[in-house]
Amino acid sequence: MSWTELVGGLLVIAGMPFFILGTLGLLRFPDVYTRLHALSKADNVGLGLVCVGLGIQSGSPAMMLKLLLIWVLMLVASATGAGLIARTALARGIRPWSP
Amino acid sequence: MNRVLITGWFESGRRLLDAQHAGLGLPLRLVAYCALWWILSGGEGGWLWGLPAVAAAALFNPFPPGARWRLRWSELLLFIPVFCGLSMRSALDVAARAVHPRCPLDPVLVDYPWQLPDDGGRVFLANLLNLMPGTLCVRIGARSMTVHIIGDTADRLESIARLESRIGRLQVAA
Repeated sequence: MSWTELVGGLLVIAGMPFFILGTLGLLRFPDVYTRLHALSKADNVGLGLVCVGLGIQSGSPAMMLKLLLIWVLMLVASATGAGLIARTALARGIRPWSP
Repeated sequence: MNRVLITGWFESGRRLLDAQHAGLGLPLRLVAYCALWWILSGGEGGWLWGLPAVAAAALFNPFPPGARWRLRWSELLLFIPVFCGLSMRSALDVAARAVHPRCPLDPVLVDYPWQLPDDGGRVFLANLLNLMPGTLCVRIGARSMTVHIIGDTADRLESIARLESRIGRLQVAA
């Protein structure tokens, strides 16, 4: 096993828990706003680690850049999507949960 | 009649192209789209399809000429590691709250008055906050935005202010 495969594999594995914990937050958090916190933040780091890991494993600069591009576009989509849902929820009068 | 129409159409088309060609815009777009094609094709070429696509995309630019957005590229490069670090902190923060037996959240809504001028920077900051530790923008107003905060409020507000001044420095004054 070459070092690129090893480092790439470790990064992919490191990304997995973020997806799991983001989903756990989606299930456990009480309202739409807190759930958006969980999804938009945890999944992005998870995807970033997976993309960088796969890029290193591929050993091709073009593939690495393509995966980075996918990650950046996902960041934009995720941040914008979370913002749109949150603003729509507040505009429709959904009160944030408080303990 | 027809000739007037065609000449007018031709004139406006030429003026549009002239405006697009002015300055550094077109060569910059050509280079950027060539790079994009190279990435998308996985470095394998396919330039028979790529070059016409690049030329068409660069010539018929959907963005208005005379861009409102002038970026300081050095500041943008400096921002990348900061962004990655903050993303990681934000993901770890929210993950810790998700696994905690009691899910400690204590959310509050806070009004944050803008320091940035009213252009693309405000929307950029609002969307960026959704990826940063403990903040979610829930309203974009004329004078302020409302932020949904979990965690230490004073600390979060301070980091919003830091991000805002960073974004201010990203843009070159027009």
